[in-house]
Amino acid sequence: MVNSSKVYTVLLVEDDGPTRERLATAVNKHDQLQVPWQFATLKEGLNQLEKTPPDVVLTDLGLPDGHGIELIRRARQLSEAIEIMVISVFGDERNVVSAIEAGATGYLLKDGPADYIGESIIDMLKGSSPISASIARHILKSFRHDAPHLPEEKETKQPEKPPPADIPKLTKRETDVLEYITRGFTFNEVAGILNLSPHTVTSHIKHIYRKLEVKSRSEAVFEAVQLGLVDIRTDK
Amino acid sequence: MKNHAQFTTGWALAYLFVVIFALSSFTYSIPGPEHRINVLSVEYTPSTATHPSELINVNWEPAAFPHHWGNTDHQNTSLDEAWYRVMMATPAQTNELLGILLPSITMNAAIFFNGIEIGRGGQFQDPVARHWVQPLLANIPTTLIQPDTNEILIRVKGLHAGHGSLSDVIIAPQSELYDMHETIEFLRVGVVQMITAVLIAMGLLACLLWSIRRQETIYGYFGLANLIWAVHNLNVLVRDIPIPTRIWEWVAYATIGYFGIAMMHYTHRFVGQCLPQREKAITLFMLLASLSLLTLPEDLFYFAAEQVWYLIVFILGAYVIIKLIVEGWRQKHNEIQALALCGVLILIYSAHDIMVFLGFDGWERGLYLHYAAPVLLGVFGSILIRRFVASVTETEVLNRELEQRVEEKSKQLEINFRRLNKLENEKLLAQERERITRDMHDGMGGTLVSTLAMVEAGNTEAGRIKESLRGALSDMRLMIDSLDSAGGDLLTMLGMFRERVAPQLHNAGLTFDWQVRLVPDIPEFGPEKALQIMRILQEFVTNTLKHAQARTITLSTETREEAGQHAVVLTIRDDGTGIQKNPHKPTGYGLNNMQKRAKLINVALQLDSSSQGTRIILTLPIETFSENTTEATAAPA
Repeated sequence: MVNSSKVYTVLLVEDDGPTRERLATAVNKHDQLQVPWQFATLKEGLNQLEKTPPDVVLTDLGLPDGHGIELIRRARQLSEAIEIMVISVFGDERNVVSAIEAGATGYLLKDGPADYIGESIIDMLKGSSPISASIARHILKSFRHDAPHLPEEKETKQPEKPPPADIPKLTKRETDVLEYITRGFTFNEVAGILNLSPHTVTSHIKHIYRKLEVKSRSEAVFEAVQLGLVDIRTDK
Repeated sequence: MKNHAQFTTGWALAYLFVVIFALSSFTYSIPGPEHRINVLSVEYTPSTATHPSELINVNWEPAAFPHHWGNTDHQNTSLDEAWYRVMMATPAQTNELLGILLPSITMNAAIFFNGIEIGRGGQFQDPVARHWVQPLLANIPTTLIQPDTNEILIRVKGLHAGHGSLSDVIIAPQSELYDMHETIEFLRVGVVQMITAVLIAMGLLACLLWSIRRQETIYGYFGLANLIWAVHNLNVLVRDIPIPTRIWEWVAYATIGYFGIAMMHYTHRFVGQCLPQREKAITLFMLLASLSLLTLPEDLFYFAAEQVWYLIVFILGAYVIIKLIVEGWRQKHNEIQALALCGVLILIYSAHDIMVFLGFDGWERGLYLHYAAPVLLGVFGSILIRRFVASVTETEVLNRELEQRVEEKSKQLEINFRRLNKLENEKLLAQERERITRDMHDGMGGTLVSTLAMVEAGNTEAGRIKESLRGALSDMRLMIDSLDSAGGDLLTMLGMFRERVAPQLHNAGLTFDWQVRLVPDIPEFGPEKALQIMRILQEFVTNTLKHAQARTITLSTETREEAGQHAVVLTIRDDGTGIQKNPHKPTGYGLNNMQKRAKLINVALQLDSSSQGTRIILTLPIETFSENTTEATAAPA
């Protein structure tokens, strides 16, 4: 998947100058990465996205003219292949989960060591998404309270019309992986406990992220149908 | 004051009206027939003869109607029988059927026309048929009328010796007399029958009310009064009595007294007075007096009954009525006033009846007391209805008010609850803010201040400043993590702790031996506990990194049960040199701090240190009963 000779392009959107500089420098330091575009606003980011799709999108969430989630969603619409990473600060897991739901496949901590930044992007390109105990917990919760956002009152239930079957669920394995991560185990430890290769564990994480994205999208549609906002009947 | 004046004036007028009405009612008399035939003479003689043929050598005395034996000075008033002789001239036109009407007789009469009996009111032997106020009508067979004059003989049986009367002997065309007879019959019998029926119904109703509401004896007494009066009325309604006259008479006398007793009880309750002594005394006296009447010989019986007993009853009645009037006036109570008015009417009518009995007044009008009953019943009925309506209205109003009050209260409660909730929230927020502020000063703040001091002192060695700032940042992460929703979950919190310290350990070449097993949720585990525990762990890791020369840090969680007490046990240990082996950095600050933090969140902290390493055990209790409950509920399934 990762061509060791290829140089991957990174679109960086971050409104804070010094942080942007620091990130750009850190990314450019890596042989296989380069940042040809760096912007401070959502609008510029979106424009660039339409012009030349990058290999990697690296974006902050709180932008002066909008939310980074919009950029993430657009990038995911344009291509399934783009790796999207959200720039985050610690304690911001909820937003990270929102970003994953919009299509992000990883996150970067702003204050992380400089040399870790390039490595994480490459790891992600290799198919391994970062995760934390807190994010794992959020995702587990999200899949557990699955009865997908049905209207509260049971009276209006339509028993013959359950939520669309294409709302994905976590497999037992995926749930196990997340549970161990929640308790602080590393990928390698989880792999050991579950008798898996470390690579399988990381690809599980990526799968889980995509499932979360699909689930969130299906639920949005489902809710829209429930609310009568979208008509999905084809035999009209 | 003006209202008061109107009130009394109004009632005074009402009293005046009642008195005038009562008195004027005495002047009423049923109009006689248009074509009355005048009689030539009226004579009277006391006699025990049973048939005109026995009237030999009697001494006829002239008399005038209405005629009452008690009113004459005749020497033979010891007799209770008498004869009247009325001479009638034959009218010019005899083609019309004629009749004789006796409007009132005491007690029974038989009419003989020219020696032939043409009418009789019932038997003359004891018990004698009782007519009291009932009229007697007889037709004169045309064949019996003689050309010149005719002799009408009327045998009359009185109530007792000296008490007999005949109000009039009216001779007129039968058709006219019939109407008059009907009118008298209706007024004196029909009306009283109806009144009696209503009295019985009302009496039973009141008694029923009382039987339902025993505490309201007033209804019981009123019901009793009604029923007693009804019994008394039988005296004028029943002509042929089934028991000896003496007993019947006694019942009639006694019941009027008993009516007085019942009304006294009723009145006391009605005006809201409690006079049990007086009631008992009067009741006892009345009962004894009435019973003693029974023991008297006949000649004394009637005297005692009419002259003494009636006086007693009248006094009792007057007492009751005066009580009503006085209390009605005093309490300004319309209902009492109305009853008092009835009382006045009753009193006047009884006075009238007593006069009649004593022979002071005309017997021809009959007795009046019965007619007071409808007024009394009407007043009582309206009082009852008023009270009923009032209580229903009151209930409705109360209900409505209650509902309103409940609604108001619940609104108020809701507002109070919200206010309390808000206060509670504000308090919680304030507490939490205070805690966070304290924690910031405690951790990050302190580090930043010391860093600043270092820089100000010119001590700008990059490594030390970096380390210091990392420390501050790390503490800030700790705080932020503890505030995460995962801060309520010990295991995730440990996971986050590991993520934070992993780079440090990695850089120092230490391995983290992660033995975190699933443990039950710890009740009331929140940000504060999370933060303090993480700080303790952080302190431990910092100490290990600085002093222990360890290779591995092991962190484990397990559930332990001791004496039925379940607890989550959190152990962190290193394989370093131990605290004692390090004289340069003694136990002092760091460990004390840890103990302090553990104490703050009520967690037992145990520290062991040897040359093999240092260990801290944190014991977090879990409530046992919840465990038991889940087991108990799980078992049957």
